[in-house]
Amino acid sequence: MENKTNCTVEKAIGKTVVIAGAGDALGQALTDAFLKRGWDVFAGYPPDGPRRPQAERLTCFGFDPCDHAYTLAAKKKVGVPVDMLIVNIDRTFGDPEASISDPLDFDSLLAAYDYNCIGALRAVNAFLPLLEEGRGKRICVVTTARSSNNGCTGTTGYAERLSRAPLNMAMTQLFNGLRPEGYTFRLYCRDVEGGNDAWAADYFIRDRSYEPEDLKHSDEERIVLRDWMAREIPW
Amino acid sequence: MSTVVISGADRNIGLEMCREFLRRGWTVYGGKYVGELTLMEQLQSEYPRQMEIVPLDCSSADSVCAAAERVREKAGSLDMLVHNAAGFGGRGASDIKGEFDFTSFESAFNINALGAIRLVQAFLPLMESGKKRLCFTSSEAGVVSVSHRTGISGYGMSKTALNMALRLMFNRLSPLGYSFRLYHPGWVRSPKIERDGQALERMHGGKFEPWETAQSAVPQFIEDRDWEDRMVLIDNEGAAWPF
Repeated sequence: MENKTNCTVEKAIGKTVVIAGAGDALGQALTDAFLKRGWDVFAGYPPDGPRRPQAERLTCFGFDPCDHAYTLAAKKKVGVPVDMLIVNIDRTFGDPEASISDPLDFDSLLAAYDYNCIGALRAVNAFLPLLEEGRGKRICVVTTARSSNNGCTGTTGYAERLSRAPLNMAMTQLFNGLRPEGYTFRLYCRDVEGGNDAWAADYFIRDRSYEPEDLKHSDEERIVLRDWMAREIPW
Repeated sequence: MSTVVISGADRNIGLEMCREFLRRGWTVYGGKYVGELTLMEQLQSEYPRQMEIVPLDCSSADSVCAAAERVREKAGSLDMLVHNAAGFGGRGASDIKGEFDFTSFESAFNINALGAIRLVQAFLPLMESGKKRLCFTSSEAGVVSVSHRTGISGYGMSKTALNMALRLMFNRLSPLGYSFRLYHPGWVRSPKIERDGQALERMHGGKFEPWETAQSAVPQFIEDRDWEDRMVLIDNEGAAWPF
């Protein structure tokens, strides 16, 4: 059987990716990785933050996960068919060490949900019309393994966990609705401690349909939570 | 006499849970959110010595703390807390391709997930000497591994967040002697209810009446288990769900 993985990489010229959230270390690494692979990259940065200088095949735009009108305006600026959307938004809210026995800042919990979870949906909602016009139809979301309900053995991290876990639910609902239309998904748990995310771009780009070991349980026919070591994380 | 606080007791499952606890001789503090409804007052008239009505808005820390203070003044301690209040965050699921009312997602999250945290934090000081049981109405709609809906459901997302909050609470409070009940009520028909002379819109479908699921829930909440060191999502027919 032909391994299509490398073919996908080789055919990158003419492909377009939007990285909604390119300002952090992972966003910058993804930007570099896609440029290196020959993709046209539209990179979204915080409106008031530093941006990378414009370069060949790189276009920067302002992106605020909490401001949908602003995100819709960013979509207009991109304005071309998009093959892949990567949502990489992550902000820490409240006291990450607080447990149920400590004071919890509910405004921070609401803000975390609005930013990390609803913000991702705003990005998908805004850029979906451009994905409809593209050929790749892939939606990738960066999250963390702490979003896993079944993997939760801790007592703290309310803001992160309560904003990430419902994003997993939202992504499965998106998968259920959009997979029949040809969309595929990546839900990637970044390495929060070591930053070893070099595999991310490759995972986002690859077509796993033809990988023998994954034939029966291909990542293209189901939605999977995978970490930076390619391990499947339980929901 | 054992004492329970039930949020979202104005109608439907919460009201019927109140009735089941009252039948078993418990003192019930029913959390009242919908001011215009009088179903709780009708139930209170049947059990005037056992039933107290407490204003309770789970989305407001002030309201929850005021309710806890009132229970402390009246009862002094509490055996069981039931978080049954639920916000639905708009009507059904949304099409990601359509125009979204993103603000509707917040209310379901605030009531269903954060409301549980507010209640536990406010009432925990009253529970140190009692049965130490914390009960929550969740839903299969919050279980990612069995998710089948094709639209974006803020309700389902909020129940996923609730389940996560309960994991964190359980990991912290179980070693301190607290036990947990996580209950999926099944697909419940909403009864015909009038407010200000106008019939409220009913949700379509359903397999069980509110009193049926309440009759299944309350024994699960009350009875002790040999395996209180585990938290399991169990439905109205006794089936365990992943969560």
